[in-house]
Amino acid sequence: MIVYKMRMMNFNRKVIAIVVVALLATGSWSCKKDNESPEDKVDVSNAYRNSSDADAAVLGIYGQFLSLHKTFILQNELRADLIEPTVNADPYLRQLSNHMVTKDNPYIDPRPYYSVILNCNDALKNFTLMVRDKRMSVDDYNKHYSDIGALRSYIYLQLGIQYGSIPYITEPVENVDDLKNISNFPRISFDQLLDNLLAFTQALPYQQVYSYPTGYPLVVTVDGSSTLKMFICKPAILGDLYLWKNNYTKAAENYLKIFEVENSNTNLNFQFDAYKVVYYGGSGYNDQAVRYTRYQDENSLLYDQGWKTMFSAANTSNVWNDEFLWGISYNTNYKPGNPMVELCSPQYGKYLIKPSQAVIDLWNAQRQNSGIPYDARGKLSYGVTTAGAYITKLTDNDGVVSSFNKGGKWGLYRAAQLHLRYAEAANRDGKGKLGWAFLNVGILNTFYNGTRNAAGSPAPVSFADIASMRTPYTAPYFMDAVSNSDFRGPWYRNTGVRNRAGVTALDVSYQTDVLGLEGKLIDESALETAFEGNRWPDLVRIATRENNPAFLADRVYQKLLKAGDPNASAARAKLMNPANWYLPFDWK
Amino acid sequence: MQNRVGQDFLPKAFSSKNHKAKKLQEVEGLMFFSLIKDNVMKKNVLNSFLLLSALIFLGSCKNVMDEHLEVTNVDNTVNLSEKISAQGDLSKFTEFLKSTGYDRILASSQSFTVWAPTNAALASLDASITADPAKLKDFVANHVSLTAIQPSKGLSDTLKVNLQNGKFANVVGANFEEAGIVGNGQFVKNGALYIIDKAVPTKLNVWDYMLTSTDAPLQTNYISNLTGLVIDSAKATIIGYNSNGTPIFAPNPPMVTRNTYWNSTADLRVENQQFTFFMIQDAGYTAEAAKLSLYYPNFTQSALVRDLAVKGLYTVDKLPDTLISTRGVKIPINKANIQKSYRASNGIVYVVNALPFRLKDKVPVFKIEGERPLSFRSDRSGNTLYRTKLDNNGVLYKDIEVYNHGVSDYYINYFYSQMPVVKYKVYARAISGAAGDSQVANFTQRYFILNPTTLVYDLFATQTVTPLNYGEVLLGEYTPQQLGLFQIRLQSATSSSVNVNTLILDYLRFEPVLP
Repeated sequence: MIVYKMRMMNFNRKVIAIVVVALLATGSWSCKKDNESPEDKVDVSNAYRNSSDADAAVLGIYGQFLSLHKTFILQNELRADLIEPTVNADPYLRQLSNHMVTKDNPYIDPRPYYSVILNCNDALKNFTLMVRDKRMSVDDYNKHYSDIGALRSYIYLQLGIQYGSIPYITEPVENVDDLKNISNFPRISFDQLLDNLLAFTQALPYQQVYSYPTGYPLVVTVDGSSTLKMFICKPAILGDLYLWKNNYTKAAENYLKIFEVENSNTNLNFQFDAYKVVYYGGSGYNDQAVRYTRYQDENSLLYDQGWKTMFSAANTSNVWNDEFLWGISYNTNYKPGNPMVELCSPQYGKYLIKPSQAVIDLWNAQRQNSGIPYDARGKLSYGVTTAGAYITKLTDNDGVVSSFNKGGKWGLYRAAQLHLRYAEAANRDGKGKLGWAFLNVGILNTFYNGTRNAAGSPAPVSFADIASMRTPYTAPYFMDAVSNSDFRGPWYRNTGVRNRAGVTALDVSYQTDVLGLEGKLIDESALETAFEGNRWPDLVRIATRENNPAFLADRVYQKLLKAGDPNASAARAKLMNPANWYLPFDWK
Repeated sequence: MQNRVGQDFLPKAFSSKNHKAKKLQEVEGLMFFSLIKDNVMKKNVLNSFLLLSALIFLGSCKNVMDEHLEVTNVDNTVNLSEKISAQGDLSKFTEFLKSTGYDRILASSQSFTVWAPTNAALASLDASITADPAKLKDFVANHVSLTAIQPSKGLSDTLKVNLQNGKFANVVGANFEEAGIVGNGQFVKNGALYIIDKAVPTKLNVWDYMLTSTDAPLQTNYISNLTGLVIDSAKATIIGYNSNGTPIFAPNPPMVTRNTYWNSTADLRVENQQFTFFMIQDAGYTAEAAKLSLYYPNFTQSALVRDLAVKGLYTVDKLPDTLISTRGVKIPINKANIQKSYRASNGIVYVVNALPFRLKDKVPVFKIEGERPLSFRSDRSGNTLYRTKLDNNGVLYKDIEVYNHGVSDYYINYFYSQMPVVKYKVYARAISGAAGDSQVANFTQRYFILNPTTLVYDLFATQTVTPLNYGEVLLGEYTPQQLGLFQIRLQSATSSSVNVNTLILDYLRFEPVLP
């Protein structure tokens, strides 16, 4: 029996490996205009026989999802203010940047999104048939269905952010003629879309942080990469949907689920470090801080340790795993390779996009605790050649990028991003001090008001002192950062996003300034997660919530102004009308 | 079979046997890529791209580059030598070509441009040139360039042309140097011919002019004797390399003399740069030297002549009231002092009767930067911080801090060369206790200056550094014993304790006390 199981597992591994290879090999989606199914997909009648087939379908969809990486980054970053086109960029990229898109612009085509969505729909329907016909267990069904369902919601959220009103299609479209009629499907507003997505996603039967638990056939290490976090993190997307709907408590509840997922891990480093934005404690588990070998000396900034390794290290490394909750690896041996190399690299790619002067100025306006007068996350996110600045963050890789090694990862969700979104919810939910703590110096440093030793470190001498090491709120805002010789709360290492990066804390007056802190959280999202695809959604969400189009328009204007774009004023005027935030939904 | 990735779209016709042709078309296609891009669907980019490029290749219409390079008035039946000799008005120049052997060169298959003076223009040519074959050859070479030059398109169209004798000529509009170009260019199979109305004798470069000129004998004499012997590395035998990778020469290597002025101030011989150079007549020269003698004992003339060259060409009409020498010292210009000027091949030379430098420019304030040390007492690089900070006014500064190094009397050495002999007020700026700095307590650090006679470091000043003092602190006054290398040492307290033996220095500022 054991032998049989082992053989099954091996078999499954092989299936997974083969399917991954096959799907990655067909991954040249951007070259296609039509929606024919890939030729190496098995016929529909034989496709869904057992759980292994379901696994293959899941991997196939994720393989196809990878083809959205380029569009995702271009739409979410180039349209916002942190990335601008280089001199090499084609006119279509410029249009995206200065909001003068024409209908023939290939980067605004919604069809690649729908081709993944339709495959999701197809898989979801077949999973339901499988469980009905007892070809799949209810447990397997719950996991597979919830995973693909959540992924579809994520893609729809992106579509909503970019296109506003769109057709919300949840049924499979099986023949090509129906596909052509997608443009005739009724379109719903972005707000209605959010309602629909929330209703669907929160009802998914399996809501765990990891889509498939360790030991599940889909969770393997193939070619040096783990698949554990290749699948969407459901509480993260659910939290985001609630945040978009301004339902702050529910958003925080979902985010908190991720913070706490490793709290019972017997590996203390995971228990205390995973997803909690901690200070550097001397191990690889918590090496996400901006570090120098010699404090105050800018020349001793570490590139191969600390903050930058979150992006460059393999997804099997501890530094990656304690920060990232969703990311998909590219394999250097298979196509398509990391499309960011083509976009960003002056040496191995076409160097089409670069960091904007606006974001460089933003980094340079920060001050480090060490007195160094800029934010080192800038240096760790982009490099400079004689041709100008170029983005390194998106091409960082454990192997050196070269013409033959275009590996890397699509990092979709990570702890710092989660902390800033949680802080955004807490701030709006009347817990500005907690939001400030997450943004700046962490829970312990913010809330502790007891006795300190000569060196200024907390040294509690009473129960009251100890009590102030916990947030004075109820769930989902209760956090235990107690640290004394008897007990360590799960949050005791938490240090805040800015402190981890070594930059100075903001004034404490922001703890009671809801709009002020919200703006600072979005600024921090730029400093910390620049280029990762969060900027445009951040701007749209806040500008909508604050009913303040200038929040978005002014930032884009500043980028264009600093780049000397003659359309700067026109773009600002256009973006002052929220209807113009959305791309034309044009089904060609 | 569906088409999948880009490569599969390649039409069969373009496969390997047509490889070379394909390459060509691709190159052609690249230029037109932007044209076709707008109306081609992405899917078919490669297809259409190759097709279109093939069409373009066949159609091969004119482009802007072609028009730019287009040559009219071409006679492909003769070469330059024949073309020139066939014109009666150029018979004198033809004669020169024959006697110097240039007739054969201009019949060869390389491309040349010849600016040929008419017989009338050559009538007034200095007889010393025609009499000396070497000079004549150089004269002819001064009218020939090894490249075919197109006619100017406008009056301000400027070309710098490398001539056959190594000089550079300015072709501006219809002028070749000071000569005017008569008529249009004539193009033959190996180049272009322009007829000019004036002979253009070879100009001296700035260096050669200075050597031949008798306008400022004291200055010329001094500079021309600044010679030193160096190993002629081109002729010497290399017998090995030392650990730094520099060659080891065989004993008694061949030596050549070099003028140190070329390295220390400006190499006034090079033809592909331009200089403005001043020569001071003897009276003015002596007066300037006398002003400096107090501050530069034994090196007075050296201190004077090193600030006479300026990069760039400043003709009289373009002369500002102050120029900056190659070493960064201000040169005051008074046009009334200019006695004479010479337009050299690589710049211009002004002969002046006085060039009254300001003393404060010649004996300047200088700084020794803390973050640019010469050496340390021992390796404490792990404790040595090259810091970048903002001061109280938000101005960025860089400094050095050696903190918690654990060495009693730890020191950093600094130096300054060619320090003029004058009394200085010495200021120090050392900032402790700013953001990120653990040094928040007061501490003392000392400055020792090397005594060139006893070769001992003498205590010069003791400084108590107080936190967040962004101002300069006067350490004291100092007068060097002699001109030359100045060495100063920043030394920590005699203690191995942290926060006590710290060293911090932004800079030392030396302000000469001048009359």
